Amino acid sequence: MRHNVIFLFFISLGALLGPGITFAQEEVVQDSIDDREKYGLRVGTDLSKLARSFFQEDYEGFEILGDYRVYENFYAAAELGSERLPFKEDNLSVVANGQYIKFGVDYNAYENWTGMENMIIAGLRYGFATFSQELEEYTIYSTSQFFGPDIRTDGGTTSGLTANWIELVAGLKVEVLNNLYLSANVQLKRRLFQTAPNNFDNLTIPGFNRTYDDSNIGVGYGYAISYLIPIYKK
Amino acid sequence: MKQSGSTYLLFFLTVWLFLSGCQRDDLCPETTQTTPMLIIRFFDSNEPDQSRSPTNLTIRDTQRDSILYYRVQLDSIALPLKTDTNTTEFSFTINAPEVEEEEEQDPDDGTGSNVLKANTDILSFSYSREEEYVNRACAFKVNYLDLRLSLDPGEDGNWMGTYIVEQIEVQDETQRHISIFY
Repeated sequence: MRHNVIFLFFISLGALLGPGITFAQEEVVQDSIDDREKYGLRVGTDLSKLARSFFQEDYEGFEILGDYRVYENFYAAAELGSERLPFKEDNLSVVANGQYIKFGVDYNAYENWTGMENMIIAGLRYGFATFSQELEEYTIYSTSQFFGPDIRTDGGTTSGLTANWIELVAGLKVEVLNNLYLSANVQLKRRLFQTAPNNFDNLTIPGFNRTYDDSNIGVGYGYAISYLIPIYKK
Repeated sequence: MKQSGSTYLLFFLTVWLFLSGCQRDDLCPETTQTTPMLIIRFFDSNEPDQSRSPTNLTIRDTQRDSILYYRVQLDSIALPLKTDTNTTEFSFTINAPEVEEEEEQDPDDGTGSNVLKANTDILSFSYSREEEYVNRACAFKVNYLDLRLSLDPGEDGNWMGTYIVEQIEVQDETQRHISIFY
């Protein structure tokens, strides 16, 4: 009779523990790769403007930029800059001096693999600039060469000029080191409104670049380095 | 998604490249009105409606003695006016001799006819100037306002008769600015 009890005890022990052991074997092994993506504030500076300031004698410019990931593929983006922009044609030479701000949205059209944070950017901006323009040199144009050229340097400076525009941006942004990004973009701009000097025109605008006689279109480009300050992961 | 992203980028780049190469403003076309020349037309004193061409007309800038027109037979001429000062002076010589012969010209050739004898009148044009922006290629033009002229017949008398300033503002070259009768 005592052997039966002992035998019964061991069987019940097995019955109790058995299922426990089998459950432990069916449990899913936790994946060690983190597929969450980084969200944070990215700030940077435009390298092309720094390089141009160094190599081009009459140009001086500086731009800081930033973007913030709002939701999945959408980023709020802004650029803030200051430029001393010269513009020369055959018969005209001006310099525009001023500041600009651009803000808008970037959309990431690239599907990243896990752990990567690169972008193909399609963006939209609204830009605004305040500046002054100095007319350094201008020609009084005449079809007759009889009295020789009349080139004047008394153009003067007009301040308090403004301009605003909208911009389409297309670019790439690549993570080269941890949280460090390099980006390149091209911009297509359309000028909306401007205040221009009396008896003249805005030939070049900080943030917009050169303007044309009979259209509101402008183009630009950027090459920047930026750093992501991570805030959270999702 | 990845495919449409790169197509978008390529399209955008093409448009951008095209536009960044645009240099439409480079040359100032002839058709654009820049600083106007002064248009003068000659008429017959006896028949004021009739255009008349002075024989062998030579026009010179009196300050530098450079020749603008040399022995021409035109009833309509275009004169450049100085853009950097408010006066311009030209000498108008009718029946002008060829340049080499000037030193040997006989003042009395015996015919007694005014038509064959050289005669120089000096016209002084005075005006105020206004600079006006045209466009990026042509820069600025000067408009001449408040045009006046005075005639100095010189020692040989005047060959020009009366004159009419048709337009005191010279801004374009569509119509004559001065009519001279002789």
